[in-house]
Amino acid sequence: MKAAQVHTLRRRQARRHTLLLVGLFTAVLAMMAMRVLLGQYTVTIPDFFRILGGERIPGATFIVMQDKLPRALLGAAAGLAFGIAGALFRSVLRNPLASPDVLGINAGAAAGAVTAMYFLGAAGTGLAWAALAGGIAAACLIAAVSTSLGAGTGRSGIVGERFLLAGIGVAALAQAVVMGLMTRLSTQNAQTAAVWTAGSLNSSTWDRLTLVAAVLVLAVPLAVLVQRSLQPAGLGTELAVGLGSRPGVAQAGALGLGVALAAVATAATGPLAFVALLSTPIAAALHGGKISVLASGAVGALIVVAADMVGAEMLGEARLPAGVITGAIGAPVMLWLLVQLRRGKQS
Amino acid sequence: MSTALRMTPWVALAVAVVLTITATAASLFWGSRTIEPSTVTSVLLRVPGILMGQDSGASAEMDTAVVLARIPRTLTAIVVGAALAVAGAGMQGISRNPLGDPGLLGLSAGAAAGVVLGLGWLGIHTSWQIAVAALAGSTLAALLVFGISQAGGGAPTPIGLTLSGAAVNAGFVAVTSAVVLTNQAVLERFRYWNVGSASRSETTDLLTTAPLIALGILLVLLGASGLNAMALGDELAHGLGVNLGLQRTAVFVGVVILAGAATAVAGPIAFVGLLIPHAIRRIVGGDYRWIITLSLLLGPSLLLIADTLGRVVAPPQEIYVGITTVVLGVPVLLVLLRRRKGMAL
Repeated sequence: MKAAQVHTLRRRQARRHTLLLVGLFTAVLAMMAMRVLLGQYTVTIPDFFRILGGERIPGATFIVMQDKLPRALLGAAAGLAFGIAGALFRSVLRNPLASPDVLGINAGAAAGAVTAMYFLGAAGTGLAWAALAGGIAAACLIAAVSTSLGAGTGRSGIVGERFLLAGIGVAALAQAVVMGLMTRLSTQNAQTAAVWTAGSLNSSTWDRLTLVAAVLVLAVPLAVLVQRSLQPAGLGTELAVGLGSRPGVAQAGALGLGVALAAVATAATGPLAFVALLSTPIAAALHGGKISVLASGAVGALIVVAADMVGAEMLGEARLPAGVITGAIGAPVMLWLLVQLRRGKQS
Repeated sequence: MSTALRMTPWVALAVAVVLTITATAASLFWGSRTIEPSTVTSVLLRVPGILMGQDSGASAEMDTAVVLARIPRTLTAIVVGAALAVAGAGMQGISRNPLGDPGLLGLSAGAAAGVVLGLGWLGIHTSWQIAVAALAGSTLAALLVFGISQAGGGAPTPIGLTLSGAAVNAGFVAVTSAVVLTNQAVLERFRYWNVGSASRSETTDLLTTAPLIALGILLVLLGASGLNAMALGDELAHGLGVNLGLQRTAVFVGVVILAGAATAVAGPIAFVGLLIPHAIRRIVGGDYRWIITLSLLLGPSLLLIADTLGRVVAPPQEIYVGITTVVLGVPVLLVLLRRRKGMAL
């Protein structure tokens, strides 16, 4: 193949990637618009812009500014964070099931938040910081256990099987902490409880949105950069080192970034099940099998906003938190993924 | 050498018997409420009379009521502990996989989802109906986890099976939450159905599930010699003339029944089935006949100790046994990971 041909091929791929991203983010915007404008309380488009412009329409202003708009924005932001975190974990750990939600990062963040709520009476932004600390603690625990274990045998460090197993153990532990403290908290309101056990957008506030948005602004460019530097590692560690890349640093960076994103998103919305896990393979399927951080984030945002729309507006009296919807829809998709994984190994 | 191998299991058995009796006594004598040992003894001595119908069991004293409430709880821990430990041993045997545990692999969560769906949507309420719903759930979960992990042919890797289990588990937990959150009646009764507890069950639940658990244990015991042959690998086992298909099916059905019945009584409890068989393997080696026999004693011991700890750690509140077993179990899982030898079967 001539150099020119390779060049055109690359350009065509890049163009397809851009097109995919444009398409996905348009879909996210459309979904958010549906979430804000439609539903049991509909808002007309001119009214929406008048509200945004600062005009006070009795009733509508409150519903849009305090409920619908922050919900849609926070859902998209958290979904983006979960999706990117999932893509980063997948790029490093090379196992479609190794996502932050399976490995206990989300559960760790939820455990941090509930612990702070129970022992320190934390609320609002303090809760978010506690969740971040919990997610990071879970990740450190997993990393410490798996690297210290790997050292003795000379087996791979953070990338090995032990990372996954330790992650599952930590997830079980963190869930036990959440459940244990939840039974002590006198939360009469089951919806409040659902935020930390399943994940929900019911308590979306502008404060939480600001936090997630600030982290996203910093993390998205970093994630794209880190993922690009990981690509040589996809050829295998030895070849990657031979090509002059330092996979260890990039891998650790990618995992750290993924942990921060998943923890912050969990702080805002609770551990939304399967979002990180599902968005990456869906995005990869749309992108010809290749992992794309941004596409994965967009799919994550789409999933969360859609799940919230379904749970809050489309089930009549039964208002389910978004995390329950993502869990229920995610389970069969996940099983399909497992079968695909086995098929791929066989062929 | 051979005498050492023959002796050790018997010594281990004696130790296990003593441990089980001690743990049972601890569960009866200790609790979130401090009661004089002599009071406990006098109340326990009245139990035969109460069972025979000569003693009404009524008492104005709070202490008596508390002790009487500890009895079904202790029995629950014994039955459920035995069921889970044997289920774990059977599962590790048929999958030749060190991480077999009904809780970790989602069988318990499947059973819990079955119960909650039945309560919320089908209006079931008797102990039998609950047990059937739990069995249906654990069967579905087991078929999903093992079916999918074996879809590509060949034995699944420990990590593959565990990840499938974690995923199936998460799916069923989501289903359970969905039902619990939308149904006020179920919410009131089973708000914490995602955590295991020894104190939730009523005596009728226990009486219904105890025969089921006995059946499950029997099935796993029937397959025990087959498990020993399977540990050598399928080809060698065929060479020995062992009918693997039949025995594997017996153990599989037994494990599913045990996981479902245990969950119907106590909710999902993880790690008992993982820890106990591994500990026994360390002590007496890999003979499944001994592993299962000792599991019958050590599973109850672990659950009794975990439940008693949960009661005395922060009185007057209690920590559910489903949480204490995880807190006790995760460090052991991590130690198991540390020793590659411990991971191999």
